[in-house]
Amino acid sequence: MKILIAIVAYNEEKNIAETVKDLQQHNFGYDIVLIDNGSSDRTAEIAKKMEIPVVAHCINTGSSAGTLKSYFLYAYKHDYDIVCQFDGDGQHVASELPKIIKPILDNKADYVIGSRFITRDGFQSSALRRLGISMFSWLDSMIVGYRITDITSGFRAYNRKVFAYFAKDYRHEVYDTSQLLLLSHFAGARIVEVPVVMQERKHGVSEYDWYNAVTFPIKGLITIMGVLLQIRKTRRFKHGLED
Amino acid sequence: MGWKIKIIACIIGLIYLFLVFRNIKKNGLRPSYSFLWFTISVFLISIPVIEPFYQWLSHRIIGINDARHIIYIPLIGFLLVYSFFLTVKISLLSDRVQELISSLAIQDNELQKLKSKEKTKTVE
Repeated sequence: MKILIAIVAYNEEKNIAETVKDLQQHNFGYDIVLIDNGSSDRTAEIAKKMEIPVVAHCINTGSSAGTLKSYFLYAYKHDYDIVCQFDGDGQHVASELPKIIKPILDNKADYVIGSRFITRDGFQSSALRRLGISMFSWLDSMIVGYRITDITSGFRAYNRKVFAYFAKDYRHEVYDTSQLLLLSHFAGARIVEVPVVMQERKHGVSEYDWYNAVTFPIKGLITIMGVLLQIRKTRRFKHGLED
Repeated sequence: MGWKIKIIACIIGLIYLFLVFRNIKKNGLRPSYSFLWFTISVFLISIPVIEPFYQWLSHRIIGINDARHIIYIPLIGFLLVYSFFLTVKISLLSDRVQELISSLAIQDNELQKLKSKEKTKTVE
């Protein structure tokens, strides 16, 4: 099984070295790639020095969701079987990776989300953000019919069926984790959540500010509505998940 | 409808028509984008020519007493339709830009790999 760990980063020069070191120390046979979302600092340079291949966006494409297409396409073109997203801000822990990969290896899931809120160990995010996450996790759970607790978690693993679908069939921008989850669900993916432990970022600030806090619920609702309107179209592409 | 407003509408229509044709000729405006501008230019030019028709349309059909409003209503409608049309186009373009950025970044990565392989070969 070829496994790819895609580190996604934007201006993380203070965190990237530690993140890469953590992944290299716990490497059980996976490849690592850095998806640099148009950083203006030394993020890509540091990763290159640590001998990590870098896929660098020429401009920033917004939130970390803007990197999805790149690592899906990279994994698809390089014939990987599993791809995991790993945030470059130091919040994700490499020793937790086997937890999100195992359900795919056991053929129990196509898409695995590492959730902070199942066992509630480790870093839990701010109260305001937790409120938004729980609201949308509840809403998405109602739509898919099973419990999702950490809809915005960036600690995720996908098998080839899922990333091939988004690299090949779904030719639109994926800009939201909720959209990704619902589209995958309606396209026939088996989605599983597993408990993971995360840690607080050591340097820098999160991309989620007050502006995001205000616009997140509105954009989130429109996104969900958009996916629901696309159900028929999504099902039409279901063959993408049956390769 | 006063002759002044008819002349102004006609002049604006002619200017728009001139700009539309000029930009199509220079490949500055695609025919699909120019369609709505062309329609509105023709509408403005037609006001002094077929004014009785617009009078009849506004009084009898739409129920507007002041025929001058027949100019503003289609213009506002046109701007709303055009803004919507442009938003749809922008959304489509963002999809394509995202795909291009991703493809370009991956190809750049492959190029770097090839270059470093070549360097290693040259050193050997």
